[in-house]
Amino acid sequence: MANRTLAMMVANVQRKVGSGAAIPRLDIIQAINTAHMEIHGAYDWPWTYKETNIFLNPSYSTGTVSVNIASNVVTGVGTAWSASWTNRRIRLDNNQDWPILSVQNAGLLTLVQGYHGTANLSAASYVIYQDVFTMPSDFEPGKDLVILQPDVRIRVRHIPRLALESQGVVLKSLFTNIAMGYSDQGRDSSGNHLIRLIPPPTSTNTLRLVYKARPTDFAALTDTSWLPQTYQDILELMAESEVKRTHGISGFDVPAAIAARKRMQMKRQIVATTGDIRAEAFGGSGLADSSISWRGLSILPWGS
Amino acid sequence: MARFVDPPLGELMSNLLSTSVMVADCQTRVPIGLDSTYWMKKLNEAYRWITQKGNFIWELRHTDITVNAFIVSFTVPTDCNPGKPMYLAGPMSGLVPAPTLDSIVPQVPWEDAWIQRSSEMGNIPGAVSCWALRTNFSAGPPPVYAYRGYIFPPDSLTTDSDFRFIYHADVSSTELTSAANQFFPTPNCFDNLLIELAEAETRRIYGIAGWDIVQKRAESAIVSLLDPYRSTKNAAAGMVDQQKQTGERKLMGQESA
Repeated sequence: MANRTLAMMVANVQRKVGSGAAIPRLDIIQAINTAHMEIHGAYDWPWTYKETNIFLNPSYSTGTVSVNIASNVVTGVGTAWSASWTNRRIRLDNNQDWPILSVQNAGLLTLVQGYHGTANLSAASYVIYQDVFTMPSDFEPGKDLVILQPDVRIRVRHIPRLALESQGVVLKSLFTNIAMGYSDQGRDSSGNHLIRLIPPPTSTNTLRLVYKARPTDFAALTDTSWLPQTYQDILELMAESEVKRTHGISGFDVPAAIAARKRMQMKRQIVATTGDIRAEAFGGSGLADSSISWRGLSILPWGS
Repeated sequence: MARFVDPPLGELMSNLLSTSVMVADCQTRVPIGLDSTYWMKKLNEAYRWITQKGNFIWELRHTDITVNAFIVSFTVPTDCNPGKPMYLAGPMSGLVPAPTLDSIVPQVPWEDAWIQRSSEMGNIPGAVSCWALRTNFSAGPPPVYAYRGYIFPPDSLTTDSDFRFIYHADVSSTELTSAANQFFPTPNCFDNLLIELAEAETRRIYGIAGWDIVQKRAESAIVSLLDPYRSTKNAAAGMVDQQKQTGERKLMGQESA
């Protein structure tokens, strides 16, 4: 990949803009970062692929629980809950699931909202499960995302949120490690993207996650870009143009035109060498899609 | 960096006519018995008149300074002319990790410098963005007070770091005297012009005919000579650049339309 450090790129842009113009370096770094992100967003570049695993945790139903109407405090007897549990729900006797805000200790947890059943629960059965998972901090929504089940080697299909909720009503008592779909679940308190699986997993397992990572902003003078070395000067050209444009310096159109030409050339080259591979791996023709399984179990039509 | 020569004041660049020779020439041209002190005063005035016309390579000096981490200010040399371009280069050492961004740190107005404090890129160690100048009134009244440079954003300098400061010296702070080993910092071709300026001024003061002819001749000759000696002659600016910008804006307007 690129071998020019941020320090080199800043110095190059400074030199091209000219010493007569007093351009603060942070303006140049900002322009380089903007260019980096703009290039990143323009195409699914192959160098942004990363992989990780989603660890599925077993559901838990040992012991009994008590909770009063309108209270968000749930107490357990004979339970061994963990304070490290996150993104979990508890299913109570009316077969409704309640998101858990936090687990205080082995016998005490707090719901996000107060319990709203028909009567107070005492020594009732329950199930705590995790169906929401945090995506990596560099995951970028809207880019290519592949979730694979190692057990049966199928792709977990992305479904609309409404479809997930609708199917959840019907399949509320079903737990299986063969996830049939996932949907977006907003962001956590750290700003990380969340996804929700359906049906909820029942035991320990691992899903493979292949995703498009978002490059981080340059944070050190020794940082390098993700671009191929051949095309790393595109960043400098785009930054030079942006700095000249924003500071009212003549000659911003020429580097912009050169950068656009080089970007087009880079994309053409990348598409030529990786296009077929991407189509086979992630376009659906090479691997079975879980929608086949899903349709086999489907009760409601897609999009309902 | 060839432009950043460092001529000691009074020795370069002229090596042809010493100040004592120039004084003798002046006394010959206007033989009314004025002493060398008077003529050196007029010659120094003529030299200052030239330095008002721009920024010149014979005014350039440099010094190395150490800027302390998180304090991020430094004292500008007392002979620095604050109205002329100054260049802060570096940081050249002290930063971890290497490589440092060893290039010119632009000097900007305070409002631009302050904006850099809140930049989202503001905490990259070593990425000193810019610097700004202000008077240090706490040092005392003139000539005690000094100018101080402030580096932005402050968090970018996490360790004590060395910079090179290149500036234009205020030549009026040191006047030359009449001596055989004293030379004006201007090139040799300026020597006679300095003499003519001093002669014209003296003729004007004492009401001697012909002063205006001599003065016009000297001034026009000097102005035509100044451009090649400007220390900032490579900087694009002025009407030509503005015309380019206007052309580009028209072009962009046509494209977006």
